[in-house]
Amino acid sequence: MNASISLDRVRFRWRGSARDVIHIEKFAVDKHEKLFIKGPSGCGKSTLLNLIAGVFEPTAGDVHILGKSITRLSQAQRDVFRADHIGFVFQQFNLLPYLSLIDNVLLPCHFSKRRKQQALSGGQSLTTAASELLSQLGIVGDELNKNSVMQLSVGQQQRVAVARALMGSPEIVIADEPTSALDEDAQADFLRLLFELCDKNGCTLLFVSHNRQLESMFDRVVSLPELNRAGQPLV
Amino acid sequence: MRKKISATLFFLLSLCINPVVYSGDSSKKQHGAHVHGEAVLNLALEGKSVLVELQTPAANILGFEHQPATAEQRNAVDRAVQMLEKHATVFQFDAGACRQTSLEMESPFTDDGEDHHDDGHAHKHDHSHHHDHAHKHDHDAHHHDKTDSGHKESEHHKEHDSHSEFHIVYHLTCAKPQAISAVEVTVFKHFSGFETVRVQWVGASGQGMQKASQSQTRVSLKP
Amino acid sequence: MKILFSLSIKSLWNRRVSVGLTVFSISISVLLLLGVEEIRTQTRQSFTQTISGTDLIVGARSGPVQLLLYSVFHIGDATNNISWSSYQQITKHPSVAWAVPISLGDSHRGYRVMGTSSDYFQYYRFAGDGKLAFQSGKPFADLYDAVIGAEVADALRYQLEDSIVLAHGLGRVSFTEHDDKPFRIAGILARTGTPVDKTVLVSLEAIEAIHIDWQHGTMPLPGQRVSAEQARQMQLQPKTITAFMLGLKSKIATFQLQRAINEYASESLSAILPGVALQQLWSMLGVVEIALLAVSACVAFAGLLGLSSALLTSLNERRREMAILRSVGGRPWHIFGLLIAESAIIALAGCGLGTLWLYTGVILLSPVLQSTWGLTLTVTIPGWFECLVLAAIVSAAMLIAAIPAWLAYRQALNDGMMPRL
Repeated sequence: MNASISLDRVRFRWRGSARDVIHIEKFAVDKHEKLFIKGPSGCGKSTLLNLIAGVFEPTAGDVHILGKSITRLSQAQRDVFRADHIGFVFQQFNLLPYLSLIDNVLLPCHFSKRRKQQALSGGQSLTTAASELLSQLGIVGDELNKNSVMQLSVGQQQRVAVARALMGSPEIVIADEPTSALDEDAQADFLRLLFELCDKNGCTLLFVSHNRQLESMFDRVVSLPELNRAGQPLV
Repeated sequence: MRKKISATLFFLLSLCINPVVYSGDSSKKQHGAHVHGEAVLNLALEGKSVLVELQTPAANILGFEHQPATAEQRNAVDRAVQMLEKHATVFQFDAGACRQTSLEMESPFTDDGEDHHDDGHAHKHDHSHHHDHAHKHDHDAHHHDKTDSGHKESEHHKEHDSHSEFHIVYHLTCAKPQAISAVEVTVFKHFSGFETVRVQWVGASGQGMQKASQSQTRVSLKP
Repeated sequence: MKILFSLSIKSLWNRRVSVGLTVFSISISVLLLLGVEEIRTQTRQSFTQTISGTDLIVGARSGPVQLLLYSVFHIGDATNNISWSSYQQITKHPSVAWAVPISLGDSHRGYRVMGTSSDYFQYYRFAGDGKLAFQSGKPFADLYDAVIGAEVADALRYQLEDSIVLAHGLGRVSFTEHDDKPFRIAGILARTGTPVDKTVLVSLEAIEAIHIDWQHGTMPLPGQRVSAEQARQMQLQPKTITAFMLGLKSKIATFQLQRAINEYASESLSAILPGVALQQLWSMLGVVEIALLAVSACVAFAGLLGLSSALLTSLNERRREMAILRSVGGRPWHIFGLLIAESAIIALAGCGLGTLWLYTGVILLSPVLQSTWGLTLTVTIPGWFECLVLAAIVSAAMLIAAIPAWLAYRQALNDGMMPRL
């Protein structure tokens, strides 16, 4: 099996609701693929990502991640699985304001043994691994030593978030509108760095955005409203 | 400032003291207050001698406070007197190797051929002076049902006449008085009429007071 | 989990202003709870130590607590005086070993003046077997000699041979002074930690002498004054006293003598067992103490509710934080534990701070309390009560934090990683 992520006849509806929010017959992402998912807000993007992450359980159907059916796992097992294999970058405010840069990047290692071991596999300490990752993302010197992440620019914050998502080399990185708070030049820079590191780590990238200008840089583009048979949910 | 604090404390104190001053005067309680269910047990320890006195309304022991009318009631009085002659019926020390040496008992209704029948008090010993006082305070501090002001005069007199008390003094000698640390009030076990017994004690280590009840029969004799 | 602890510490520090206020409010309730208990135990100890070795105290018919308070602690006033003849007759009783008369009613600059006999210095006992000792000087010998307590000497900076004037009544500023008969300070007592420290002691005869020309409590008319020297020649045996203390030859006789005095025919008297009266005082104060403790407990409860509501209101603005934790692998129960841990840390900090307040307060206030009340507060190692209170507060804080923690848990489950903000 070559798919990194695959959904099979997946339906999801909120408890007590009579209509599906998600109904996807077939959806697969290959390993090392950089996939762009487009769609306006409210078309079920967040729900889809929560399903892939194993935070939400599908009402029907099956979700396979890295060949494993996560729908058969318990909630606790899914939490561990997610921590081990998926890194996340969100739209904005990705960082815990009360942790230093390095501590933010190190967070996944506290919750996932696997990622901690992989981070240490290079033979360096966790802190060194984190600062190396940050320097690859262009955060060096003064910025690195800043104690409050709130002193960073939005662009820098997003790059720190990428470092955290990639810390300990998870197989999958999910980015949910990570560039929407950035200006156009910064968006391109950010994407370039993200691709570079994803290639280096050999990970699958799932990139969700409504900004169609970025489409062209990806291997494949999927329109969620077309994929999702549940159609437009009531908001 | 000091004045203000003192005044405040005194105000607080008087708030809690006043009801006691006017209703529960213990000097009267010592020998007069006649409240069914309640009794006083005084303990005095000096060297090897111990004096213990019990003062209780007869109702606590007999269940009635009138002249025994039936043979059954007369038997009850005799039986109670017999039991009370042994101090262990009333109290027991936790240690000390104590032995009862003598006893004084004023009990109502005992038929000793004395001429004290008429007022409902018969005594084994002559305590006429004391008796007069007890009589008077009976009247003062009659708390039978806590609404004595509402009594009709005739009823009051009738009840007053019928109230009577046991006053028993036990003398003990203890071989090891220093070993005594507590007293067990055993009277609750033998007579169901007792609810609370006010235990007052004086001894080498000081003085103290604690209320014993059916659920708390042990009283520590340490300050 | 170590990470939870370090996360909660850092998260709390990040919100230190609002957390600080919560810690402060909890520390206040801890201070109240511990303070009430501290004052309760120390007051009891202080009161208990004031009188020992006295078997009976006799005064005019009144409640035992009232008699104890005015005769020994100088709190409140006697309802009535008792006659000298009763005193003499009772002290002739074969069981009586010693008797010390007490006459109260005058003052000196706010301090009580107590008339007594020189036996007082011999028989008065405090704190077990403590005997009155003289810092300097000796008991009163002359009619116009006075002995002052340590606190009087310290506060008014008196020394031996100083001359003082007694005032009629108990006001701090009195317009009716016995200035025609000044006293000489003959002795200064060592500190006892009892009301004796705040007392001016003179002989019974001196009390009689300064009032000898007074009629029904009013100042004498100019023509009827009796000078200090004239008074010496007069009959100075008191007609009344306030109360007296009795020591018995054998404690066995205590209750009989008490009864005999209570039934004394020619005057209405009360004889009380000081130790028993003290117990009665405790049972009365028990109500006040319980009320104070209940109020303190309510304050503690309010503080904990405040803690809970502070956590609760922070939840919404921390949804992003929880989502981030979820995305990096935090499980819902981690979120739950995080809030419980925060609550426990806040409560612990509150307890620590409250205890610190208490000890600071004790150190700062004890001189004041000592001089105004004769209350000795000492810094004591927390006892089982203190530990119990602190443990109860921390547990209650964790328990009460379960509400916001549970909501955060639910919220974490529902929000997933993308909270709809």
